[in-house]
Amino acid sequence: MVGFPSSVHMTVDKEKVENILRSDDFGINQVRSVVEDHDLVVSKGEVEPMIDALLASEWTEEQFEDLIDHFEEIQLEKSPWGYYVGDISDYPNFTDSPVHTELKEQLNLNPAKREDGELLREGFELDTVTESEITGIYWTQTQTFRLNALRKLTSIERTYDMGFDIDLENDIILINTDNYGKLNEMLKELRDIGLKIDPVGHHDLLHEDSLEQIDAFVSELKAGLRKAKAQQPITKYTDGESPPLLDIDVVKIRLESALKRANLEGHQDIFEHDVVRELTQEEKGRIVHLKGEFEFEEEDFNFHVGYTEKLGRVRIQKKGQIKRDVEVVEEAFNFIYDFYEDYFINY
Amino acid sequence: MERDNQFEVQFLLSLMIVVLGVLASQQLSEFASIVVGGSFLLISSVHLLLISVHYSFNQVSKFEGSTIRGINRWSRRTLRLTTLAFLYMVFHILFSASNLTSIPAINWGPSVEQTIIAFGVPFLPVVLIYGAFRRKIRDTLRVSEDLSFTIVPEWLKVYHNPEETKPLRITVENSGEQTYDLDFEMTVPDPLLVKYDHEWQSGVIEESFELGPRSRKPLDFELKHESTTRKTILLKAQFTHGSDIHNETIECDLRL
Repeated sequence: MVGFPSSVHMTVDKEKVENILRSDDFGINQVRSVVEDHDLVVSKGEVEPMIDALLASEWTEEQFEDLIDHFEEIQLEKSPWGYYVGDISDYPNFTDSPVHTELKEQLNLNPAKREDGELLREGFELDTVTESEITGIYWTQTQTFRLNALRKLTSIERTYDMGFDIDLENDIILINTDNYGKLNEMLKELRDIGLKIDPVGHHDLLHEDSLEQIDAFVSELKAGLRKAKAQQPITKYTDGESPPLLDIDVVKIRLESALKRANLEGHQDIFEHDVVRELTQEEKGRIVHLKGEFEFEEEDFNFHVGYTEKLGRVRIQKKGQIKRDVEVVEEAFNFIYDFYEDYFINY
Repeated sequence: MERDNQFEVQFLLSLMIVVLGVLASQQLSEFASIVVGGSFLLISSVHLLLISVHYSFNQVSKFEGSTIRGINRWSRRTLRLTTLAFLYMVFHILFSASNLTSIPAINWGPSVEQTIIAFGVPFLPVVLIYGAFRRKIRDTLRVSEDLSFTIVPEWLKVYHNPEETKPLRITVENSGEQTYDLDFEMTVPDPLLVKYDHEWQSGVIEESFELGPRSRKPLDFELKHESTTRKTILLKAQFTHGSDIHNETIECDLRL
């Protein structure tokens, strides 16, 4: 058979196309750019006529693939990018094999089994294994009983996936999940195979020293952002007094018996805020979490940094319009992670 | 209104130079008693001392201890005293120089007459001026003492998506015993949009409300914008009570 031209019209499932076009993340600007890509002209500027026009037109496989890529980009750009951070203090050492091989084998003793999207067995699913890095997903499932909306007992089965990235060069494990509770299950599994994970954060520092580390983190991050901005080409947007590049709005302070929040409400200096001062000086509290915003390469990001009893936490999320630039999110994360490493892990 | 230290010092020093000049000048010094001139210089020196202490301690520490606040309060009184002392001195010179001694009705003897006119009478216009001033601005003073306005935050990054934008809150507090009728007006320039009272609006937002004794009213706003370029614009809020106006500006940084 002579090869088909790539733009042969195969049946593309219009329902899938519609689902993507109508999803929350796919805003009007994104729909508009798809309309332009398809060389369509829609007179009215509203979303509905644009979606109707797109669904009425012909779609090739290639165009569908492009739409999926577009949607993936949006997801990558808008989703939060963050990890729980653990400090690896010991690797399984039962054999003479190199570390990464032994670790891989230990993890494979507890493999996850999935078929057709269903989880048949909880466990580890490895993705990449190299001398310096092992990545994968830890799958678990929980079945719980609860009362449904009509007050009848029903069982709910939920599957959880947790991404992990073991950095064998720096002895760090990064875990991608939003479910802190389920995290403990995975940590226990890892402990059982000989991977010892120590908490990240200022647990072993004296109270004043921990505050110093936080202070240093904030000022160095500010200075780093300023330097990065100075290296940017001058844009049309020039200003006399620009808003600060780093803005912290909530600080969590751990006291002996409680975790307190302080809302900074626009104040620029954490340590000059009344509540923070009182909790850290008089009640000997430690700052364990910072939440705020920063500007990096002309984009704005929300961020969370801090630590819990077990692990550290770093997370950013891009704000503002979709610009189809996923790289800037990764760069911003690496930027802030470098400072996190210096002041929360390797202090 | 923030106190302008620099202007205050310049103003004061100018007054002192005038007085010193008058005392030194041969023609005028016969009308200006050294006592009056000296008192003025003394009062203004005390005031200068207070504001320099206040200023220098303010620079060293951002804390306002009770001592510093006390000095601040006193320096306001000495400022008033200095101005009144200067006024007194001006009238003292005027009355000394004038020929009011030739009023026949007053017949206590020339030196007593002159003394009264030169030293006593100048108090009269000073008291009158001060009284009129107090009466006129008393109401405004009361308004400014009773009402306080808080804005959080004072500058804001605004996005297309209102959920990503921090909300704005303006709180008016009345710590006095009187009820105030306030007119609130907010000017929202295009392409900024403000959600107030469940409605997205641009242009001018107006509302009138009554603020009873010892009560507060929070005004909450959500913001978003529709600009395609980055810019900074000012959002203006104005509170009017009778003829008194209080303005607040919020800097909005429109981000993409």
